[in-house]
Amino acid sequence: MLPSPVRAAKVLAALYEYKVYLEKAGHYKDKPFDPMEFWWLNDN
Amino acid sequence: MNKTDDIEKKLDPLFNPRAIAVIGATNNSNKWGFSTITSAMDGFKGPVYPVNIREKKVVGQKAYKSVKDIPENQPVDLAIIVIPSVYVVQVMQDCLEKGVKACVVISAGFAEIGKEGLALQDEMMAIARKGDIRVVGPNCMGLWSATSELRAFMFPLRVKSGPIAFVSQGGNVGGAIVGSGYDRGVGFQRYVSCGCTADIQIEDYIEHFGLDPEVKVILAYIEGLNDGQRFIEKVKKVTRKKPVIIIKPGKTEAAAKAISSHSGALAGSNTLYDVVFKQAGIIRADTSEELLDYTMGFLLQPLPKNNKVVIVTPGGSYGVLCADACAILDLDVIDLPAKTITEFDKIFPPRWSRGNPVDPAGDRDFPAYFKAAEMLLQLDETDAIFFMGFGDLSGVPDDFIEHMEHFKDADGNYDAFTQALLNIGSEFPQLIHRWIKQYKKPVLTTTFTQETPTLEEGVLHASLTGSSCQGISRII
Repeated sequence: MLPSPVRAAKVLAALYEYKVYLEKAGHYKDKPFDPMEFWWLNDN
Repeated sequence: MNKTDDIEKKLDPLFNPRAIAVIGATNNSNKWGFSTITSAMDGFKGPVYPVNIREKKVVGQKAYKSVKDIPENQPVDLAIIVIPSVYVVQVMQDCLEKGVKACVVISAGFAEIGKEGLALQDEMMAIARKGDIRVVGPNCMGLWSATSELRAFMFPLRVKSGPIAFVSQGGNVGGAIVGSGYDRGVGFQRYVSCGCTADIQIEDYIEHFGLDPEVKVILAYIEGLNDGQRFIEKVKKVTRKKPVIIIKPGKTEAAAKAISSHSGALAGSNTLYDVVFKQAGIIRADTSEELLDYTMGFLLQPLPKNNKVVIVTPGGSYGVLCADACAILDLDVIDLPAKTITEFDKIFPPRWSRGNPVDPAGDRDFPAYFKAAEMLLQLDETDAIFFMGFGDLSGVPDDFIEHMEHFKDADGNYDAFTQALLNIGSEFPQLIHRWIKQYKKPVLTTTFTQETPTLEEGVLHASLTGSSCQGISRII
């Protein structure tokens, strides 16, 4: 099991990797970056 | 019909069948046909027809010698086939004549065993294609669909409904991940053990999941792909709408050999997969634990605007571990702005770290830690914070809590430090939610509990205990 600081850092790195990908893919070309766009708790 | 309608229509009989037949269902509890029929009957509301050439009744229900013997006015959308491979071709012919729309072929002994098995698989598929029968497998463990509460699975699957869809080329690994998800409160809308992928490819499932509004995060365990180009083209369209997280083993020659004999797939170049996954926006996880960590991260955290982070820790070594991991992962552990250092000088004792990680060096004023974290979230210079060492006390041993009784004074009251510690547990998730909603930045929390974090708590936090050296070596 990874110690939590490392696990937590890896999670954040994955989130950032996805944001960078979306940016490069033109996801924010026609709309501003919304950090909460994929936040599941929006619906729950 | 456009392509979107096509993929939805193509896979709908798998996930929302009106009635199912279990071919090879049996009363013999030593056979997979028994656990498959009992799983299929657990939850699914439509008719489940046992098919067995010898037994007249299976688990108390009338059994049919062939799927064709099920009365004409009782259509069967999905057949689960759990019989020796040599009989599957004939059974597929029966399914074609009955008008079955989809089959889950659990039986093994096809492409994964080599030339002879591949020939059998081709023969089976030639019949399936005549009737446009969609086929999951062969050599798979089955599937789960939350919409129809269908456990078309070869053993009882611990699964709960939720926002995840998952396709796995490994049935055992997939089942274990779904089970771990269950323990962590992560529910699944769909789960498919896809086996040899003779018909429906992994990218078809991912495309289908991408269209389902109930699915928020897509997971896959992939050993090899039949058509890499097709996979990339399809998955690229999905990753622009929702995250796709994949485990792809095969970094060594030993693993590549094991993959070939397991699923009949070619492992391919690991480096190539890394590059291609990155281009397609796929997040790669190395372990099932990591897969679920990322899943919970995507569900519970906002996306960071940039990579600038601050760490708040009650223990210096945790700060070191976190800073090290961040640096390796290209997260920027920023220098604190001078104005923030001045502000923190007012709330922390002089011995505090005066830098990032923010370490108040054992200060007993707990509210100051929380105040500092909130001040950091308000800074334009930070995109996310790590807030370590607080949260749920549920994993702390009872005798430790009992030991805290000794900290009560003559009037039976705890000192402020202990009281604050005890109060944190119940209020903590709400506080983190408030911060995330208010500041729209990720707040990664870690606790002293040994419990695995669960989705119900609504906060992604991980145990501070664990093997730290192993952790660091695994990410280097």
